[in-house]
Amino acid sequence: MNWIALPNPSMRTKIVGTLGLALLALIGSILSVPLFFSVAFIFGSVAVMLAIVLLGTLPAVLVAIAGSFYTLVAWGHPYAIVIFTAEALVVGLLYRRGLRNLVLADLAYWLMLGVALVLLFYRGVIGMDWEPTALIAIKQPLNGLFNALLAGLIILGLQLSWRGTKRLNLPAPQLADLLFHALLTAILLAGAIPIVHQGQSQRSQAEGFMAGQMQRVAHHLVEHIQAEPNANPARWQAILAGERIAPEIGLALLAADGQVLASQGETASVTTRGEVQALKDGLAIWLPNGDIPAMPRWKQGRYQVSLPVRGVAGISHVVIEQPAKPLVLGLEREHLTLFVFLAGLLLLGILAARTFSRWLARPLSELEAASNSLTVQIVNGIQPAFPASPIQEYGNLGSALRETTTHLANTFQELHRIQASLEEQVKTRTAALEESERQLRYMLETSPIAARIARSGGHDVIFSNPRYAELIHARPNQTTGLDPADYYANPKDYADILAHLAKGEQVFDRLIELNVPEAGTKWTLASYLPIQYQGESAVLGWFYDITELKQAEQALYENKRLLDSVIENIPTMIFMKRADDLRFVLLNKAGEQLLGYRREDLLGKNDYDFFPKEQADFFTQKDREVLEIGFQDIPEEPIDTHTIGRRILHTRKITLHDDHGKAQYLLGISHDITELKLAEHALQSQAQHTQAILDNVIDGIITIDEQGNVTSYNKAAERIFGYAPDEVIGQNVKMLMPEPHRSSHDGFLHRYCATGVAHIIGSGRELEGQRKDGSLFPLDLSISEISHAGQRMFIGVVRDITERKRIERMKNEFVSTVSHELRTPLTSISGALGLINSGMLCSLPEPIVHMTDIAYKNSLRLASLINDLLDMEKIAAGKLRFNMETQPLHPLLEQATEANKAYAEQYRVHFVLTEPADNLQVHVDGQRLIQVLSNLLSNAAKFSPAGSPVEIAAQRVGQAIRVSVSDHGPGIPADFRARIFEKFTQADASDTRQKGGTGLGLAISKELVEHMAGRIGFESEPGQGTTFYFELPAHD
Amino acid sequence: MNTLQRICYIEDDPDIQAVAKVALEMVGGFTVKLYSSGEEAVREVAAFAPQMILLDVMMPGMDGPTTLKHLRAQAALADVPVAFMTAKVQAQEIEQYLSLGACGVIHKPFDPMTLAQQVQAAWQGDHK
Repeated sequence: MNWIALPNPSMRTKIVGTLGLALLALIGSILSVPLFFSVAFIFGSVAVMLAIVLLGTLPAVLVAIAGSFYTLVAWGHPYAIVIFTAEALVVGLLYRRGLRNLVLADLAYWLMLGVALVLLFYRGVIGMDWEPTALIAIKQPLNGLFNALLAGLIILGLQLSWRGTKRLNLPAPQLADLLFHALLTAILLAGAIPIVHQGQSQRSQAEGFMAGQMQRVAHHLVEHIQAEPNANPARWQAILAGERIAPEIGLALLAADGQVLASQGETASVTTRGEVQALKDGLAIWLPNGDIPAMPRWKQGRYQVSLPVRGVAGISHVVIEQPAKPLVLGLEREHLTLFVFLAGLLLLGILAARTFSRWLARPLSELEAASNSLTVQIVNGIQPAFPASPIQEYGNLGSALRETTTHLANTFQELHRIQASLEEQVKTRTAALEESERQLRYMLETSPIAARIARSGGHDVIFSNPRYAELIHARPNQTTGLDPADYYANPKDYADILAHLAKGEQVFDRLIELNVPEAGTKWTLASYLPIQYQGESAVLGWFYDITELKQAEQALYENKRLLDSVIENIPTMIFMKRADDLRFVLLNKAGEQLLGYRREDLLGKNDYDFFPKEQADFFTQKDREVLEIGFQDIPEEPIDTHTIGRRILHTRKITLHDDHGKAQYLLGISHDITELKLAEHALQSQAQHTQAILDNVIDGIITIDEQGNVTSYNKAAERIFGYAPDEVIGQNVKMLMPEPHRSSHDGFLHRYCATGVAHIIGSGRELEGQRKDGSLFPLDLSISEISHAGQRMFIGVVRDITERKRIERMKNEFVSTVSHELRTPLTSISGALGLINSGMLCSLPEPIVHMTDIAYKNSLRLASLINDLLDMEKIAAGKLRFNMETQPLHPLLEQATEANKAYAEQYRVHFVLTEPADNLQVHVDGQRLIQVLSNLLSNAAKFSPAGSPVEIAAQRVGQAIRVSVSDHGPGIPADFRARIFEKFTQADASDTRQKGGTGLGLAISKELVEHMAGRIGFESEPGQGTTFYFELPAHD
Repeated sequence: MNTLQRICYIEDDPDIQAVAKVALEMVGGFTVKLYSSGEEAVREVAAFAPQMILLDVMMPGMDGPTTLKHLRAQAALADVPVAFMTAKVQAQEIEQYLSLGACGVIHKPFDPMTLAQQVQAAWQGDHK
């Protein structure tokens, strides 16, 4: 239940209101609306109810007293005053205590107190009959409740109107109240109208029936009177008595002046003074005069019917009358029943209206209750709960509210978030702004360009960088507050700039002349920007100091003059043509001299005006190309000059463009290279001559640089290797070699260049080459080194020795085969002779023994010769293999000495082996060393005089071990010494036969010693003897 | 079997055959049987049951090394010492002969007076 504040008017309003309402109550009590029969509703208590609501209980009681006072007059007793005053008091208390429903409060009063009071007063005190008392006991509460309902409706009307809420301070009506009153009104209207109608129609039916009965009696009387026109008053009396069909009926004959001529029964209506009211159907009712309440007055009343009489002298009309009391009593009984119905209807109506209105309004109350906390919930994003309702609208309203609320809650949350984000953004923006201003200041502080910021329309410097202070010759911290306008040599400049800035425009690169005190004029290139700085409009200006540039301009002008002079006087022809028509616009002095034309004649003309057509065509074509590609180098162009005949020029042409990149001029620089060309031709023919030689030699000639890259490559080389020159020149020469030479060549070359240690440079050597097709072939290579143009170069002469090698190999194979084939028969011969000579087969005569001995010795010599030949062949073929071992030298010497001892004895020579001082170790192939020693020993034996010794010695000589074999023979002739180690050589051809030997021994020995890292030599004194020696590296 | 007695010699040249036979039988006192080709030797040597085989290298038809391979394939001859007698006596050639399983290489031309000693030495070298 909502406690709605009731109006609390001022005292003055209360008094005025009370008086007004009391008057209204009085009027309401006087005004009565008859319901039916004798029952009438009065409306005084409407004002009382209004007073309860609007003014309070006490004023209401006063109003009730005033209103009910009239009943004292109307009804003749004071008890109604008590009942109505008590009604005002009780209802007022209940209402003010919280039962804010006038109808319910009134119902409570009547049920609890009102009905009892009626019964007490009307029955107990006045002594009324039961029936009317019951009627009143029902009528009063009904009247009261109707009035309460009426008052409730008025209050609601006031609450709903602007006047009621604003002027009377009434709260807004509650839905339950509205529904209650509306429902109750509807129920009462629907229920009471038929009842009231029923009540009213009962009276008219009863009166109609009575009227019919009395009319018939009257008509019968009139006919009877008219039938006897001459009757006397007694007859009239008899006729009346005869027509009096019931004792309660009264009959009277009246004269025209109203005098009663005759009467039967009671005829009060014509004899007693009273009020006659005409009803319908000719019926009228007479009511007695006097201060009598309505109901008793009606009960004392009499119904009458009056009919005129014609044709009878003296008689005007007849009156028939009958008492009203029986009819009234009957009606009273009927109406009591109707009242009971009405009261039941009212009670049921109140109950139904109360229940239904509360049921209808409850969901809304709940919604209201739910909505009270809505704001807090929405703001905090809480989803509120709304009651569900079986009624569609309430349900929809609930869910719509729920959705709306949810949406609102979400919106609120979103708003919170946006607000937070906005705050964050504002913070960030503010910080960013400060940061950007800080950065601007930092940038300007460190900028090499003078800059300042001025506010107040650009007339108050608030910030400047050191360069600006420098520019205006001020101290760095003393620029603030200066008016920049003071420094403009032409103040209009700054005014104009500020006008642009005021329009929001920017000003860039204005040439500004500043007038700086103590420094004079400064030229600047200035730009201006309107900016926001520290929250106010300002002007950022920055200034390139171009004073020096201005000064440089003058210098530039001087330079141009100098340049012009240089161009004019340079001893090289310089000319310039217009790009569009190729006409000359410039020609320097050297050009005049070379071409033989004066520039006055040439300028404005083109090539065709001076030179033969084919030359002019060529020049023009080249010009076009230059204009297209920008640059041309024309190494040679013949030109027929005016004075010195045909010259050869080397010309370079370039295009000069204007600022838009469009070709504007063509600049040409020409050197007269006529003499150079002549010299070049001479040189070329010399080179061709040399090339012709190179191309026609049989040997391949290849030159390389220090890196090994081929720099030239002649025709013979091309033929030998199969590569074309362009495949080889510029490549590393190792491409012509197979592995492993290919990989080691760079190393050899590098080592040679770095250390001078030659591998084959400076000498000739047989190597393998590789042709383009991958095939290998032997070649003879000799390399020589030259220095050409300050660069070290190597010339390789290559000869393909495939054929020579093939022949050599054939020869070697031939020797090998022959030697082998020779050995087979020799084996048989020497074997057979050996057996014969051994004497084991049989004894032979002395001369035969001598011959077979000769044959045997020579077969051995032949075998030895073949062995030597085979050794030579192996050495030549590189097939000789060495089984190198580090071993003591002495046992080898002993072995060799022992092996050759028998041979030496043939010449009666003996070997003397000197024991060496220490244990000498050598790294050799033992068998090969013995072979060498055997050669030396057999030679020494052969050339020693009979009986002389051959001394063998070994000793250390530095890092080497020298083994010497000395004889005491004739020595070696001087002219033979140089050839002594060559093949098939002996000092004297005649000696060969005498001494035996193949002539290969020393040559083989030399090869063997050198293969074992040693060297061989001899010392000889003709007539004194010879010492052959070899030296081997010592191995300690 | 401690004494070398039975030697077979496979050699295509009849003159060398003759000289060698005389040198070995008369000077060395061995019993020598001669074969003129590798094929013949492969067929017949086993029947002779030699204690030592001398083998020429260069022969028409089956050469010395091939003959050796075939002889070795016969169980009876698998362990008989074999020495080559050849004029081809370069170092790598000698190594090759020895690697084939020969116990020695005797150079041609040989000295008839020392041939028997060389053969004996080779045989003993194998029997060490």
